[in-house]
Amino acid sequence: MLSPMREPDDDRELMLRYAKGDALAFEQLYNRHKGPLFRYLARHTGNGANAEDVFQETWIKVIRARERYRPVAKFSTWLYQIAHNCFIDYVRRQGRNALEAAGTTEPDALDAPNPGPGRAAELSETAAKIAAALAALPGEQREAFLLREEGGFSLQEIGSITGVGRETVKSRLRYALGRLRVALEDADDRQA
Amino acid sequence: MTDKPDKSLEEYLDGGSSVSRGYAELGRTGPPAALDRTILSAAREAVAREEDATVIRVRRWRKWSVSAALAATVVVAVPLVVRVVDLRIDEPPERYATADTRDAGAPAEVQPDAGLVDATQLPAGFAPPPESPAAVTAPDEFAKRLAAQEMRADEDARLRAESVGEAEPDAATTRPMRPASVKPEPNAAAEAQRLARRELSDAGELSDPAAPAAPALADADMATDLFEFTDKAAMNARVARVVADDTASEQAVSGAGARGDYLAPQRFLERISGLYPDDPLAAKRELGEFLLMYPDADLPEGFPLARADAVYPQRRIVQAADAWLRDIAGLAYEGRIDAARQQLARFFERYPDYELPGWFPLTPDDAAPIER
Repeated sequence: MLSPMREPDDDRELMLRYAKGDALAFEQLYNRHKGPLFRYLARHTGNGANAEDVFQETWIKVIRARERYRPVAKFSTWLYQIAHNCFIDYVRRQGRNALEAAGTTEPDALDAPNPGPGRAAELSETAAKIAAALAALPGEQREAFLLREEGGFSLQEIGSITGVGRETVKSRLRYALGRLRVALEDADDRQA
Repeated sequence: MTDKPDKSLEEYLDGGSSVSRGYAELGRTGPPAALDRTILSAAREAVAREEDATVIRVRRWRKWSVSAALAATVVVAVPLVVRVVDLRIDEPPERYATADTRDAGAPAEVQPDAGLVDATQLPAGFAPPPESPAAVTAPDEFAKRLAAQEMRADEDARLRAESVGEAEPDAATTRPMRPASVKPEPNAAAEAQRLARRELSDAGELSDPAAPAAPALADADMATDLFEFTDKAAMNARVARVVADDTASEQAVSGAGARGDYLAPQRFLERISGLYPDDPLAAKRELGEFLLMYPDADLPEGFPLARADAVYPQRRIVQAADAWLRDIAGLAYEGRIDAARQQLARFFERYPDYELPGWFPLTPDDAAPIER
């Protein structure tokens, strides 16, 4: 089920109020966006601890950028752009160390997050299949799918966040859906 | 081949995909509470630091605000004080005294207030009516200078009378159409009248038909000319404004209240009579004002004051001389140098010791000798 993130009209107003020193406005804004953003990062990184680091870094950047914030676009688009950039930085930092240890320089090696056996056991079979299939998706396809599911962004907005064109986003989503659908059909077949 | 995937994508984007329903089963986890606290705390601290920085900036300004306020006060006050001092220096010392004819033999007392001068201290050109006894009462420089001027003027008049053998024409007049009739020496009242006349001339109101009737004239002036009468009639209409102009500066001194309103001569005298028992000095000042407005008016019988009791405003005299100089300067600026020089000579005849102001375009040496 699609859970599009609502973009209330006062998101930008809340950010502007926070920029003027209203800490309560930030609290409202944070509570409104923290869940979807955290899930996006957690399921993108496949690692809760790493997700928390990126999540915290994202909000710290929002806090520091409060005086430079200009309400020219949706606040959520701006927020997820920051999160995307933080994730890229995180991948580069972790990838350099991890890849150096593994003797490879391919950042795609980190594209396959492992949900972990304990976590998978807590989920239903369908959810476990989805989680496994999501983890197996290439990072770009997974990110496009997560932005759509968690952020409720349009193709254009996903392209804006990830820095690619609309057709590229469309292609990534199409491949992601195909793989996830196959995983779900396998689960349905097993249940049947 | 691509139709099917596009259709499924559209279905997904419309929210009807089984993939979305399957993804929802993953749950709606959120960040741990500790992380929430960390981030919210960081947000509050950032704002607090900013407010602290603002407070520090404000405090820094407040630290300098007292100094800045003092500096601003000095910057404003010093020029103001200098200006006031300059103004006071420019004004002649004003000391007032009355010469009470009923106590002519006793030394006149110096009045403590300022703004008016005793009729007996006026220079010859501004001598009040002749019944005024000579009683120099202000022992200051200005009074001495005025007394010296008076003596010199008296001496000059005596010499002129001896040499010419007849009364001098009115030296103050600048109108050629005016007949050289026998006139008393110009006095302060006449000078104020001349000032008012000049204003009338400037305003084009010399022949104002709506002007009130002229007051009764003394015999001497009745013998002058019709122009003079018309002039005075117009002046009466205008003099209320002249007085009103001076009221602001002199009201504090005279305490006469709403003197700027025009008062008919009879009513003016009645008011002076009413004022005299309670405040004799104010009544004398009012009489001075009255005589400046109506120099030829006869005081009615039973009036509690005599002409010699009048206390004249010194400022009017200075204004008269200053106005004359401005007229002369106007002639010079118009290129009528000869007329200006002749007028200057007449001016010095009237005010021998008058120091020409800095703005005046001519020097005392430019005064042309007056041909008699």
